[in-house]
Amino acid sequence: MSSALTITPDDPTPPFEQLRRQLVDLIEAGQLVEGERLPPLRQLAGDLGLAVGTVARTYRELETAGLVRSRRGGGTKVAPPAPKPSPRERQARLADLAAAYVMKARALGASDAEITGAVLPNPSERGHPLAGQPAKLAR
Amino acid sequence: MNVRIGVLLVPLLVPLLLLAVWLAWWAPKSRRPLQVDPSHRDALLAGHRKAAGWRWAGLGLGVVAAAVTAWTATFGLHNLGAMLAPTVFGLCVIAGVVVGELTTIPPRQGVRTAALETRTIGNYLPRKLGGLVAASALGLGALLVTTTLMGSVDDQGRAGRNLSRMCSPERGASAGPWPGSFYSVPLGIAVVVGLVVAAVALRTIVLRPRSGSDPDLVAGDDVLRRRSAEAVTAATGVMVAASLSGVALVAAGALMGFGCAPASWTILGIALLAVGALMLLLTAWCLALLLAGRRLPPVESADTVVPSQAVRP
Repeated sequence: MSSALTITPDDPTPPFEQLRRQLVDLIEAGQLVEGERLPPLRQLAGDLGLAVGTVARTYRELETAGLVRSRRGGGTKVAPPAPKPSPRERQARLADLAAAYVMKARALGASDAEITGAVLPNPSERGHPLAGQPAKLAR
Repeated sequence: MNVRIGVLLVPLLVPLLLLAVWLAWWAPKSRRPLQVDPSHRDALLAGHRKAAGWRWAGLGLGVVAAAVTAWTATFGLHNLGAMLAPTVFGLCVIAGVVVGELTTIPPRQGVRTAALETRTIGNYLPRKLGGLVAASALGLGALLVTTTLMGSVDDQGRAGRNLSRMCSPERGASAGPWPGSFYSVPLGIAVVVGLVVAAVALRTIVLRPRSGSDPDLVAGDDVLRRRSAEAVTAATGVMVAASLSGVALVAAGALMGFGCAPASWTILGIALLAVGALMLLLTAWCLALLLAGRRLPPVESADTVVPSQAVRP
């Protein structure tokens, strides 16, 4: 572990959130791998000049998100990555996300064309990530 | 003061201190220069000086407090003060180290950075010395239990201050002083308190906040933490080894000078004599480490080596 964690007092983001974001980034980027131990609460709180409760809240939120596991006496360790969803689950989650998006867009008064256009500004444009994808994505 | 122990103490203390000074003089001195970024050098050296200053203050206070504690033996405590003196000395040294650690905590200003690391006592504890001190502590505990069980009432009715045995159905014999419950209970309590304080001190060393996450800074800071942990371990070593030595030698004296001692007592006495001598050597080594242990190596910054900065602890 050679990474560093930083707390900026001038940042309006609360310290626990600053810390949480950095740890999430490190875990998602693979810099903190499964089983790796996070610094003990008191040590990290002392090093960053934070209250122990602040660091504890960060660790609690990471645990709720399934990114770390805490065991009494065993410290807090990075949890194994969540298993990839099956194609059916993936499809269902995509449908949920799309439905939520469409609902919010309609609430704004957007037309079908605008809703589709916001997702695919110009699918035929060269270099667009969805260029050449099956047309059903744009429906 | 009991003449027997007083006579035993003086010829033991003088060579012990001379040995400690000699060992301190010959302690390993060459160290690989520490590469430190110039921006961290001054803070590191200032922290080192502050910690060393408090450590020496604890050492000085320990000598005075131990001497006063031993001197209280003249107030009818029957050498109890002399038994407790090493623990008092060790506690003072540890207190000095802890104050030194607390005074080197960096101020919290602006952006704060922490290395993503897990510090444990094991990172800083000197393994061999720590093992020897732990083994000595266990030995002291076992010996105190044994002497407590073997002790009996002395001629003035004080429990656990004599060693007694029936030489024949009609005649009994008694020898003292004996490190029975009269001595072992207060000594045991004092040593347990000392061990707890040492553990708290080691935790303080580990948890002392770092002033940044720069690898140079971390390496230099770790040297200071190791030095503090070594001082705490050595002070605990003095506490335990000197106490064990005292108990073993007093018990050996009573066992070997007993009029009708069985062979097992004589063998035990000889073994305790050897243990007492070994523990004196360990005490001398621990004192030497306190006087001249791990130093801050020469601090090398950018293109300059500053050997004069290899400050003695």
